Amino acid sequence: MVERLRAGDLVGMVDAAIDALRLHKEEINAMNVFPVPDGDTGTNMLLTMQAVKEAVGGADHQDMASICRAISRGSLMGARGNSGVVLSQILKGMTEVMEGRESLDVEAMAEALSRGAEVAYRAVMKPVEGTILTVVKAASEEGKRIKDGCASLEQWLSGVTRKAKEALDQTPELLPVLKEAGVVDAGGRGLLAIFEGFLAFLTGEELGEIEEEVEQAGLPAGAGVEDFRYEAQFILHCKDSRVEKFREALHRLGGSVLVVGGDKLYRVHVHTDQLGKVIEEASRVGRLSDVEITDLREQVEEAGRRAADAEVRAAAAEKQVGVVAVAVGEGIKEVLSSMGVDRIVNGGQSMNPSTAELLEAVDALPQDRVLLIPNNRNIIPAAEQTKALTNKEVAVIPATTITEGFAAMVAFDPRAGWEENRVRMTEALKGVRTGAVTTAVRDSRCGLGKIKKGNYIGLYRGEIVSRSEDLEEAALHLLRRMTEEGGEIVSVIVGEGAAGRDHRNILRFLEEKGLEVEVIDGGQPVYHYIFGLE
Amino acid sequence: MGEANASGELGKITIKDEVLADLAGLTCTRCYGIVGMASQSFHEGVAELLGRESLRKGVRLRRREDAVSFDLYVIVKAGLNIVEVAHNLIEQVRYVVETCTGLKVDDVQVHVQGVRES
Repeated sequence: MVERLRAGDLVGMVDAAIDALRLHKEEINAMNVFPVPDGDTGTNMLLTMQAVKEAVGGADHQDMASICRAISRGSLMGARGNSGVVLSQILKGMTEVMEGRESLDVEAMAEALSRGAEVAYRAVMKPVEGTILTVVKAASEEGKRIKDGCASLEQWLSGVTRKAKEALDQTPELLPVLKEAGVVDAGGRGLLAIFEGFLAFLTGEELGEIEEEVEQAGLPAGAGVEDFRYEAQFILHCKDSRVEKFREALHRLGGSVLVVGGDKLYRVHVHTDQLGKVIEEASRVGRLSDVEITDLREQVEEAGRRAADAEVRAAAAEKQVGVVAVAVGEGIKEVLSSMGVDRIVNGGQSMNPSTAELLEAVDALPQDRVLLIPNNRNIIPAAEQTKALTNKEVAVIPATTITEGFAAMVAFDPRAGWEENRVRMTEALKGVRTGAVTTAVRDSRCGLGKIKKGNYIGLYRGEIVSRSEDLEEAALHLLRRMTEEGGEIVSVIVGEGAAGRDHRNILRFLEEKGLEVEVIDGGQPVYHYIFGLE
Repeated sequence: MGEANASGELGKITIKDEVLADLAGLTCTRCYGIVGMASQSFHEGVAELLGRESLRKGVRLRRREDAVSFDLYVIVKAGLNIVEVAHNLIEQVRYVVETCTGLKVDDVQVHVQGVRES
């Protein structure tokens, strides 16, 4: 039982705190996400305490005031990082109370800790809760509350340490960035380690035993101590029945595996060297979101980590949703591919692909969820049929023209999920009006009069709205009709029948209407021009 | 004040200088060891202490295409390691601005205009 601390005891306590920090350094570094996720909190707190030790080494070990001043000065001069600076203020406040006494009892230590918390809070305009500040405040309040009932310093410090642990476990509730990352506050964990070190010194027990009494900290067992390069955390949306298999796969790929949740929503945490495989396994069973990657190796450039993060996000996103579109014309196909369509089935007006061809394209994609864009009214039924013939989840975006298909792909977000894209893309179809110019294949009549085989006709909303022996004139008539209803952007898709022609008059007309014009060399048959107006 | 740009594949985003200044100012208030902002016009003598609504006054920024640089005029708590506090502030402002806006932060200059007891 220890009732009083003498000056010399403080020297041993500093050593014990250093031992404890050294033991937990990697773990603390790994959970460092606030205020800057640079993974150095454990290192910084250890370096700060080592500066204290150095200063104490030059002090008179029999003199409380001399040692206290050394602790205060050492932590001030040697403070490293944000948590190191906070720690220096806690120690400054504590030693202000301690330095005037011969020896320290429970009463004095409780007062010292209170002062430490008070001083620490004074050095910032807007203290952020859920940090080391919250932990020291909770510990100091507990210290005051229990001091009268404690017969020994061990008993008191044990109560204080337990409370610090409780407060630490609460930090994710106070600071959302911690909760998102699935960690407790790193600085707070460092402070807890220091308390644990002090307690080990008082009881003479090994640090491990102390921790068992105080319980393990919030992170999964062994977090940050194995030799893995990356920490990956993400939300997994997947069927509950698939989770067990996924968990097993994770155990093969890394350590510190944590898959918690239920009801199709899981939080996943793993340390691994095989990031790509982890993401691959995850996208095999479901959909990922909120991907966070941390490089556990010290002193890795933050930029590198962000790049890796972005890469994995991109890879994950790419794997989530596959897109199949039906199109004809090399230029159109190229544009669709550049917009994110994974596979194109050849087809269009008067050349509808079969359900089997669509099914083959859907099944050839690595993704389990596929968006299918028919780009023609007559192909929609075949597209719908594929749903029943594949194990994959297929949604048909009911685009009836290629310009609607383009609008849908403009709305496509590779980072968004299947359902979100389905809704957005379907919505995007509504904003597009399509007109096309083609050649009459036989003589006929329409509201405009006689049409001879070989005439150019403009089609809009299922009707023939222009006819002429001249392609340009037919196109201009059609556009006059289309632009009566306004619009901002027009895409002009030039077919093989109009390739190499001079479109200047058409483009000038559109520009005079104040429209933003985009010309695509589509290369499609049948339609010499397709116009999409938004 | 002007605007800063961040271009993405889905469109163009412009962020006003005032927003960047507020972001940096807010980060100062949360940075451990910083107990006040000072108007940059007070280079000598007693630094004017500012309330939260005028935080921007302690922040001066310069833009260069998609990058931004800051000058921060701050008051540090007496009895702290000023160099370390300033260093922490630089890292925090850089991190917050870069993650919140996607802009690159070229450099952050911290001008300690004074120290005071809380």
